[in-house]
Parts: sequence; C-alpha cells; structure tokens
Amino acid sequence: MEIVGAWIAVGLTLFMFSFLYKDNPFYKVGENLYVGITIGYFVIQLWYKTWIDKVWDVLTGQAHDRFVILIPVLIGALLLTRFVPKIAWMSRWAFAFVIGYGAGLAIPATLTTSVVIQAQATAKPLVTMPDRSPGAAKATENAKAAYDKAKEGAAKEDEKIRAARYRYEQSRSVSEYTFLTAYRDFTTIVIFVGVFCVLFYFFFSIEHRGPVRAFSRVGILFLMIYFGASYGNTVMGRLSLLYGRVLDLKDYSRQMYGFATPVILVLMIAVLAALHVKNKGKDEGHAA
Amino acid sequence: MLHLKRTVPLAIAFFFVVALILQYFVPHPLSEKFLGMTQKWAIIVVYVSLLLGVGSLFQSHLRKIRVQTPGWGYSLVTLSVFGLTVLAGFHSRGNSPGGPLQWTYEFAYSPMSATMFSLLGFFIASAAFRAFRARSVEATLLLATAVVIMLAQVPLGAAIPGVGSLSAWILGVPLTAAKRALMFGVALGSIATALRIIFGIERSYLGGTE
Repeated sequence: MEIVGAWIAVGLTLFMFSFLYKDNPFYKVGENLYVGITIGYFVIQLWYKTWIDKVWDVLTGQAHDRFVILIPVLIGALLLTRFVPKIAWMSRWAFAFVIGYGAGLAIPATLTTSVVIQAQATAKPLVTMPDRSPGAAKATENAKAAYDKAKEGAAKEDEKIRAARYRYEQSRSVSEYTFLTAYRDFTTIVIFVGVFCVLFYFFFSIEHRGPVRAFSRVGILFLMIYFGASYGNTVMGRLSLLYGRVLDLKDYSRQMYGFATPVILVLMIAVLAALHVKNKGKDEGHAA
Repeated sequence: MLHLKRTVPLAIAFFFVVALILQYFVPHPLSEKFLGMTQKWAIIVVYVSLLLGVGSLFQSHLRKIRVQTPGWGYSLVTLSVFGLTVLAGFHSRGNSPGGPLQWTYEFAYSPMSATMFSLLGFFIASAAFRAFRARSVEATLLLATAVVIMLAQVPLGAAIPGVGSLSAWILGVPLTAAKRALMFGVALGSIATALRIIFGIERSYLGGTE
C-alpha cells in the first residue's frame, strides 16, 4: 500500500506543480481532487468529533437535560432553509446567533488582550530610574558574588559562568543605570514612537501636512518594516513546505518505490507536449 | 411577519452579545455554565453550517454536470472524490490509525496541501522580483527587512555576524510596535462593529433589505 501511496503522492504533487508551466488539465484534476478530499475529510472529522461526540452521545445518554442539545441542532438546521427561497429568511435567526455569539465573545476578549494589555505594555516610563533601595543593592552584590564564585570555581563551566553573569547584569541594570538599562529604555522609546506614529498614520481627522506629516511618515516606515518582516516570514514558510515536497519527490524516485517520480514526470511531460502540439494544430486551423 | 424576519434576529443577536459580555464580567458558576453551553452550541451550529457549504458545492457542481458546461468532468472528479473520502471516513470510523482515511490524509491531502501552499512561494517570489525596487526610502526599508528576515532563517545567512541579532531585534522591536498599533485598530474596529450589532445598526448579516 505504501508504494501505491507513494505513486499517488508523487502524481498529485506533480499535478499541482504543473501549474508553474501553465494552467493545464493535470492541475485542474489536482485542484478538484484537493477540493473534494479536503471537504470530505472535514465532513468526516466534524461528523465524529461534533455530531457523534457532542450531539448523539449526549442524546443517547442519561442526563435529564439531554434534549437541550437539540436547540443548537435546530438553530443550525435553520441555516439550511437558505436552499428554500420561500422560507430562506429563517436562516437569519441562525446567523443572528452566530453573529451575536461572535460579537459577545469579541468585545471583552479584544478589549482585554488587544487594547488593555497592549496599552499597558506600551505606556511604560520611557526612562528607567535606578532602584537605589538597599534591597536592590544587596541583590546586585549577591549576584556579583555568585558571578565571581562561578568564575573562580574549579569546574569553570562556560554555561554556568554565562548564566551567573547574565543574572549579575540583570540585577545591576536595576540598581544602576547601565548599558542594559539604556538599551531597554531605547527599546521602550522605539516601541512607543512606533505605536504612536502608526496610529497617527491611520488617524484621518486632520490632514497630514506640515509638521504632523513627520509622524505619519515615521508611521509608514514602521509599517514597511512590518510588511517586509511578514513577507520574509511568509516566503520562508512557503519555502520550507517546498523543501518538504522536493525531499519527498527525491525519496520516491528510488527503486523501492518503482521510480515513481521520474516515471510520472516523463509521462506528464509527454502528455503536456502532445496536448501542446494538438492545441497548436487547432489554433493554426482556426487562423487559416 | 416583519417581526419574525427582522425583529427576532435582532433580538437574538442582542441577547447573546449582552449575555456573553455580562458573563465575562460576572464570573459566577451559572455564567460559566452559560458560556460553556453557548460554546458547545456554536460548535454544533458551525458544523451544520458546513452542511450548507457542502450543499452549495453539490448544487453548483451538479448544475455543471447536468448542463455539461465546459470542464464538467472536473466537477465529476470533485464529487466522486468527495464521496470516496466520506466512504473512507465512515469505513475508518473517523480517523482510526491505519484506516483508509488516514491513508488518504497521508498520501493525498497532506502532499497536495503542502504543494498548493509551496506554489505560493514561487508566485510571491516572482511578484517580489517585479515589484521590489529600491526606488524610495519606504521600498528600500521593506526590501532590506525582508532580506534580513529571510537571511536569518537560512544557515548561510545565520553564519553572517549580526544578521541573527538584527533579525531578532526587528521582530522584537519595530515589528512589535507596528503590530501593536494595528492590533489597536483592529480591536477598536471589532468593538465598534459589536456595538453596532448590539444597537441594531449593523444589519448586513440579515442578508436582505427587508
């Protein structure tokens, strides 16, 4: 079965890749197979994980309120009235439930995660004042002692020294204004300026001209960095998928899989060439 | 009739929005139970909505097959494969290990899915080759950021001193700033839309003008 699977996997992969040449029957078959398999797969997943687990098992159980589960089934069934134009308006009740549920969850969740927490993380003091308390000084002293001990220790393990140094630097950056503190402040300022300028770029109540234009220009620069990074991440994500496919094609080109890759590739090229010749003949016939 | 068509859906939406907001701010066992129940309901409704999608797919492809529009054979492929996958699923009773559905997933769905998305890599790269010209400061910044981020993710680029740290800094600082501002915008937009639903101003989900 694995050999059959290898041939199917190679065939479907090459069908999809054939789109790089041009839209062709192989790609169209692959595309339609993909749609059919995907929908079939998710229908089965939902049938067992939703219908059986969440509805059928509850209905056939012993709970006294088990029939309550029929309410969402009924609400869902209302969606199917879309197929009957006369009573299609009943589907609005189901849509209203879905929209109401989504909006009801969205308000508190987005308010907390996307507004309050993000605002808290942005609205921080731009300059850190060193903590001159005896506690902070003591913590730094202890961290320095631990670092010195790690350096002088008999084992002299690099990892331990690095960890002790890291703890010392962190502790010192709290009790004194060090390079690390300055770096943190710089980061806070960059983030604050970035958030403010990007928000200003989307603020259309005043015209962006004169001195205020500078803010929106800086906002654009931050957005460009965001788009560039998103682009880079997307391309690399796609390329890692491509590596996977190429490696599979290489694996399946071995003898133990009956040279699936080269055989299917040659057959596809032959069929595409034949189709090209046939279509060219047709085009010339039409032109004549 | 107008009440059933317009007022009832608006009331349903209003009830669930307000109830779920109140539930968040009143963490009582009863409200927790209400949230759990509503979440279960939503999953079931979404499942049934999938049937709406499947029904729509069938309607569209069956029409093509009946009328025999150009390329109707492809519709036949879609519907046949859909039927075979569903049969394989029932035979496997879900996705039991070693069953035909898992086999279909491993040798058909997974390779096609990965290939489909990897194809996008080619098109993004070719579009970038045509569109990315360092003509202005903004375009140069976009290009430079993309190059640094991509370089940092390959062994050759990671070997260049500073590329890894620069990439980490870009992802941690300016990217965070821009993303945070965009999140504010999206969040405020979502909240505004939710408020429009509560007050019955947003009615596009009802579909018609009636």
